[in-house]
Amino acid sequence: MVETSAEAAGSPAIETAWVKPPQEIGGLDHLGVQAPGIEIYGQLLPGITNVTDRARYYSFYPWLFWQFEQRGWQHHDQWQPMLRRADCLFGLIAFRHGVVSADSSDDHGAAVVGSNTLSAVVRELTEGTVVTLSDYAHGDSDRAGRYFKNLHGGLGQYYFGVLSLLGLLTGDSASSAKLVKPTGVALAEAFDGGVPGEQFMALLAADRISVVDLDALHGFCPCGIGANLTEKQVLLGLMIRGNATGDISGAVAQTGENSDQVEVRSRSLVWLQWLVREAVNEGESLDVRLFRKLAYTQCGAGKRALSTPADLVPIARQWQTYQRHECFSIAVQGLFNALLRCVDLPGLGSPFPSSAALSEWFWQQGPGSQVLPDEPLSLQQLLNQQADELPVFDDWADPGHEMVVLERLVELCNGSGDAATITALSLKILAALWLRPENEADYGAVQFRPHFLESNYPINLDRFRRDLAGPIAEMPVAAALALLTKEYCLDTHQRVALRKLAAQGQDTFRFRLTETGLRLNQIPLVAETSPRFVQTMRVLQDIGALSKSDGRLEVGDVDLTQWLS
Amino acid sequence: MSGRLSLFDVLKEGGYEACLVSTFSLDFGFYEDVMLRRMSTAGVRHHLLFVDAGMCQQALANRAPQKLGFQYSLLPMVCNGAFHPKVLLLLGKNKGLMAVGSHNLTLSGFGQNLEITNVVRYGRDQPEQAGLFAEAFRGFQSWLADYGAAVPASIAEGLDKTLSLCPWLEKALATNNTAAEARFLFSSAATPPLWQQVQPILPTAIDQVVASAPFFDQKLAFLSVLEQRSNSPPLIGIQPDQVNAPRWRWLKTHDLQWST
Repeated sequence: MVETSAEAAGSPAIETAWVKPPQEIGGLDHLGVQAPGIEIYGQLLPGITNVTDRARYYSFYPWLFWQFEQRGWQHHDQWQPMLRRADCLFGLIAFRHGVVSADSSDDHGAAVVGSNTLSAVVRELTEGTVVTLSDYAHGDSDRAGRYFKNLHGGLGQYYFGVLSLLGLLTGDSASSAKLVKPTGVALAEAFDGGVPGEQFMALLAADRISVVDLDALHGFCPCGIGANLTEKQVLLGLMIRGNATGDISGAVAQTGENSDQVEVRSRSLVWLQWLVREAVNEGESLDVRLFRKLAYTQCGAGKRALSTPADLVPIARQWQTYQRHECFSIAVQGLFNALLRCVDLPGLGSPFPSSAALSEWFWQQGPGSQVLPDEPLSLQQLLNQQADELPVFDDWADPGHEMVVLERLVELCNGSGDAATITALSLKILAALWLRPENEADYGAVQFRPHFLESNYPINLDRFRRDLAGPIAEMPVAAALALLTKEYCLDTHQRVALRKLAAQGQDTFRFRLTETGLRLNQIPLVAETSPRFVQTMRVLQDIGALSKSDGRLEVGDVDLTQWLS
Repeated sequence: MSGRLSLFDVLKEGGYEACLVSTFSLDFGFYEDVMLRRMSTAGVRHHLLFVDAGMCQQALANRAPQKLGFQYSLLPMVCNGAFHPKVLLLLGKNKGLMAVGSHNLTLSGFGQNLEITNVVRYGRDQPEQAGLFAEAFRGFQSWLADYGAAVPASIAEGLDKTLSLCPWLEKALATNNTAAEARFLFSSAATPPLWQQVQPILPTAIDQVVASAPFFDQKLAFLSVLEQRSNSPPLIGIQPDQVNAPRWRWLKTHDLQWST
């Protein structure tokens, strides 16, 4: 296209510019292998998410809307500023209670909304200090002191989705939230019975809070559920039976929640409490690492099979499936990590012209070749060799066990591990997944939505087992692995990144296929998914099912099994 | 020259119903998963893709297309040299957008490489640009006639069907409008070479030729032609680690003047 001289004097009818690249971001789950794991734990713990740590918010927000209704604050403009003030005041009370209490501050301010700002405010408080709430509750990004960015505070950012799922609030979003009757009201009334509600609301209106006020309102602290038996019962009913009656024998799923969801959540919570008890009996404290090992092997320390109660076996098996998928996810990420470490290796001359070229080089001459035996073997023969080296499934403490290998692999991938070692460890995990009879169930009883795996997340355990049962198993090992890693890692990454580019307009490519060959962008971290373990443990502590002593988890005064029908 | 222009954003503007694209190289994954998806979301339903036949073969070997035939039509262009025009025409009932530049229909071309584009819009407030779009459309017609012998007639008819979606373009073609302020020049078997078409509209006296390119002929013959037309030595922008040219000759020319 050529501009003529006449154009030069006129307005720019032709816009000439460099082509702007899409915004580059780090991104997550570059192979789409974490998503099935996230889907599984999401199914197993509906109503608790990775950002809903405190059970008290489940009753505090419904109570707040109950208060708004009583005051006739129906319109968003009326209640939204008060919601922020209330959220802010709730946080100040929690942090203040943490300061004045002799026990663990973990019970008070942990995972409370606005902690960065509000904990600092509380630290500066002295007797006689008066805090103006709106100095922190305002939503103005240009003004200092704002406690939280989201217009609807912690409700909008974290809790509205679960409160809606649990049938306590309704609306399209936090901005149109309404209290659900009778479930939300039942919880609100239960909460109200244990707190000086009128004083709290009066202080919101007054906008000025003293240290004395905060201390007087300590009943609002997230630790306060234990002191309010009615609220505790209602929350237990909600979590375990899906009703808000507070009646241990009340009907299941009266909140509008799907009864299957209630069932699976209650079983998960009861099983987790049971696992804590098992760990304590072994002299251990259940943390997420131990949880993964127990879930995967269904065995305690010393190869002792867990005597899981019969009614909890199905849920325990589903959590086992979750961890089985995690092993697969980490192994595939490990191979991707190792391959990417070779994209720009100095001394290789020109870049690899294609993903196939990199993958073939990797297994025939590169780090992959260093971990393969010299003798000509098929993939099947190599795997059979690995079978002899596998420790027994129950022995998760053995250095050769996949659960130990997995931890080491994550460490090496995210540190200065070498590609050959990373490759060897990844293959060990994949071999264990393929060879162990305990893993033959693959996804077992976990059900995905139709086409969830095939259409969106094609690299999964089902596909892995299908591929290894096919002709690839008889191929020479280097060629077979080159094919697998090209497809599972390199080509899949391109597809995943293209999908993200199409959907979000953002560039998450970790390596690029350019006209001159492959170019490394950045090696991503290898990451385990977070199965809401910390949040669930925190919620269980809040409702008295667990407690903590000297930093170790113990079973609390509430026996959740009694709440199961 | 303005700063940077996002072709991704252009694709989802809406108001367009047809898209004609010509390209030398092609990435089916990028086209189908990103471009097509974005355009479909924005309401573009009629897609014709003109691509160099040789490069099309390579693209097919890299990844089989999955939406070809029912979401878009592919028109491989068979010519002696490379089929090299990179034109994107988005056409709607009342508006049009044309992007002509160096961008192939690949991920690299749409942002990862350093690529240049020229964007022209037709609309109620810019009706004078209709002639430029008509010239571009004639380019597509000419390429199809000259290099599309292997294209089935039913697919070739898709080009004319485009006009039913944008009557303003049909009218501009019928009235034989030519562009007022700019020209769309293209080469095809039936046209003189591009340089021959450009020369008559160049000023007689050129202070300096400024250009950038990644590929140069091995004898730098065309650079010599430009040198002869330029009163002062041409200023040529290159990416030193990307350029494909006989290295020794660069000692006689300017070093990199434009940078990324």
